[in-house]
Amino acid sequence: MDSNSDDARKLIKGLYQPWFGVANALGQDVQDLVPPLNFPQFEGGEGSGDEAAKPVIDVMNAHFKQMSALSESLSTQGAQIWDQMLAFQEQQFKAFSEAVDDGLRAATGMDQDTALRAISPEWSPAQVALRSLGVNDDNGLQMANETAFAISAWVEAQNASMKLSKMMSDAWTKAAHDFSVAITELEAEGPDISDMTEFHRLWVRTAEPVLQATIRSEEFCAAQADFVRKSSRHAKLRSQILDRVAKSLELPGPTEMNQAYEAIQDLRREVRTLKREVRALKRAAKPADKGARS
Amino acid sequence: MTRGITELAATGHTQLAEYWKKFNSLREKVAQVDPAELEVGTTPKDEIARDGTARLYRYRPMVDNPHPVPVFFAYALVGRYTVADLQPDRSLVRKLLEQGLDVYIVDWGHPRPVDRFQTLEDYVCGTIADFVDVVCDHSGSDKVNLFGICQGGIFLMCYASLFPERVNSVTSAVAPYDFHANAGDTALGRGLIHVWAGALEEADIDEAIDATGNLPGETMAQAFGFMTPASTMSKFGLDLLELAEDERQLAGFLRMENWLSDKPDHTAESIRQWLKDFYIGNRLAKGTLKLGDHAIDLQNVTCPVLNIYGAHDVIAPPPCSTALRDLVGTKDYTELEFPGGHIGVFVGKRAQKELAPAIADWMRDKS
Repeated sequence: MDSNSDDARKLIKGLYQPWFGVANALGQDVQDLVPPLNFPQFEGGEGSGDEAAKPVIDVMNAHFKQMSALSESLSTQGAQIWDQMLAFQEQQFKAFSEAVDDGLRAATGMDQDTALRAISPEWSPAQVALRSLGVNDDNGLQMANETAFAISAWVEAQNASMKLSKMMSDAWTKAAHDFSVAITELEAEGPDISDMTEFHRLWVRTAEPVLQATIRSEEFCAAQADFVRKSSRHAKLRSQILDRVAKSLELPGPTEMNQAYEAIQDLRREVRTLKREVRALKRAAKPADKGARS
Repeated sequence: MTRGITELAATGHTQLAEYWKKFNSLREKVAQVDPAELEVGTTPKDEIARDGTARLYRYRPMVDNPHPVPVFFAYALVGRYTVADLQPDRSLVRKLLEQGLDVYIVDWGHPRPVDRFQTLEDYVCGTIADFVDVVCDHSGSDKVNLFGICQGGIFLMCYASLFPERVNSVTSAVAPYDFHANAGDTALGRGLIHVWAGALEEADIDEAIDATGNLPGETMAQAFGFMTPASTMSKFGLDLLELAEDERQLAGFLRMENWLSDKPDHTAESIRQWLKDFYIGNRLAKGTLKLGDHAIDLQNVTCPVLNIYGAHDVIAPPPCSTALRDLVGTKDYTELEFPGGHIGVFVGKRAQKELAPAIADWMRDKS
């Protein structure tokens, strides 16, 4: 094994250290699962397929598939290394999943799927996995749960955004089509288009009504409202996580800051009332002063 | 002039070369413009009060004996007051001063996160009420002539309904009062904010505001730009290009861009009320609007009212604005239609010549 491979192996081991720690706590020695990092010797896709459905692994596998798709755009050499890395990661997570399953069965007699349904339909796979690994800290569990839901909400908001983008993309495409039709019609009629500026103006005249029809449509408004709702839900969940993180660091989170802002606004109103009373007293005193001087 | 698209296509490469030549020339000219030349809001004024981020200024009078009833001028929260003073020859404020009026103006400033609980009640019954008192003390007048643009017009109309003893007259420009009056109007861009907001429930607004806080000014700017997407996108490639040869017009365009890019955030509570009570609930027109404990009844506005609106305004479409006629209690109600859109009404060429004298004459007549 050359020194580069050693360095790379150390790096990979470092990255996986937290997971190894968990697995070791369950009596699983996964350190040996890290192979020597001699890239050309790696085999891709090993060991996948026939085990029972595992929520955590399903999500990760979907992620791997997406990452694999990226490899198509890489150079041949890069793609080979990339595939080997993915295969290696898949191996590691398979081992990790098995460790989770073993621990879960030892503790509850159930696999992850069954445990997930049995414990609570509201609980995220991440939370179940952590609990099965003996992580019982309420804050940590809640954090894992909230994070999973926040990620899910983010994905939903992104999908809603994509739907809006698709509508606008279709509208621009139709506008371009109508523009080409307008040009053809004008060509037949012999138009007064003398320069690029007029050409540009024709585009605006043609495109604007098409775009307007879309952004005014019920479908667009409903999609936009859906995007607002989903973005709000994500922002709310993100704020909850920030609250929890801030609390653990003994810092004020968004909720606490808002309480402070509200208190400040209440104080401003009190100050305003007091100032008005002072001004009223001054006004009332003015005629008396004038009287005293006369 | 060449005729026919075929001829244009035949000379397309030459045309395109000309187009890019203009662009390059424009780029060089923009680079040469002194940023100090693009400053807006330069008419001399003095700060006489402040309240949080808000400032009250008094413009230095341009005549020896200005009109004894001062003008209290407020713009919307969404932009800066400087739109009324873009440059010396496009300054509604300067024109009013030249007409002999004594002008005080509110600058709402830029709200910060700490201001998120500032409500419309705080603006109308707090800042505006206090500033009007300051103006009265400062000028020695018991009353003011209110002049509000857009949202500022609505704020001042609400103020006039609550504190009529302080108000000599109200002038409102490009302000919508019945937010649903143009339902079904599909003219380009018209009333789109109402259409978009109408797809949301009031609970959606609550969720969004609770989660995100103040509404960034950029978001409002994007919404306004999105009302006419093709025109907005062509602004720099088409409109600006045509101005490139005229340095004065180019500087004017850039000053307007300076103003447009200065969009303050809306405080969370004020935009919550604005969207729920005005755009969705239309409570001002229905007579059910409340600012805190204050019920707003425009029938209490019995002083003279001048309502100025833009014939092609897409943000405050004419029917939404002229609905004021049936909402206010006054018998002394005047309407003035100007050509142009939401901003053009008071920065356009005709506005510079006709709007300020019309307002000044009307105010003098009512004081």
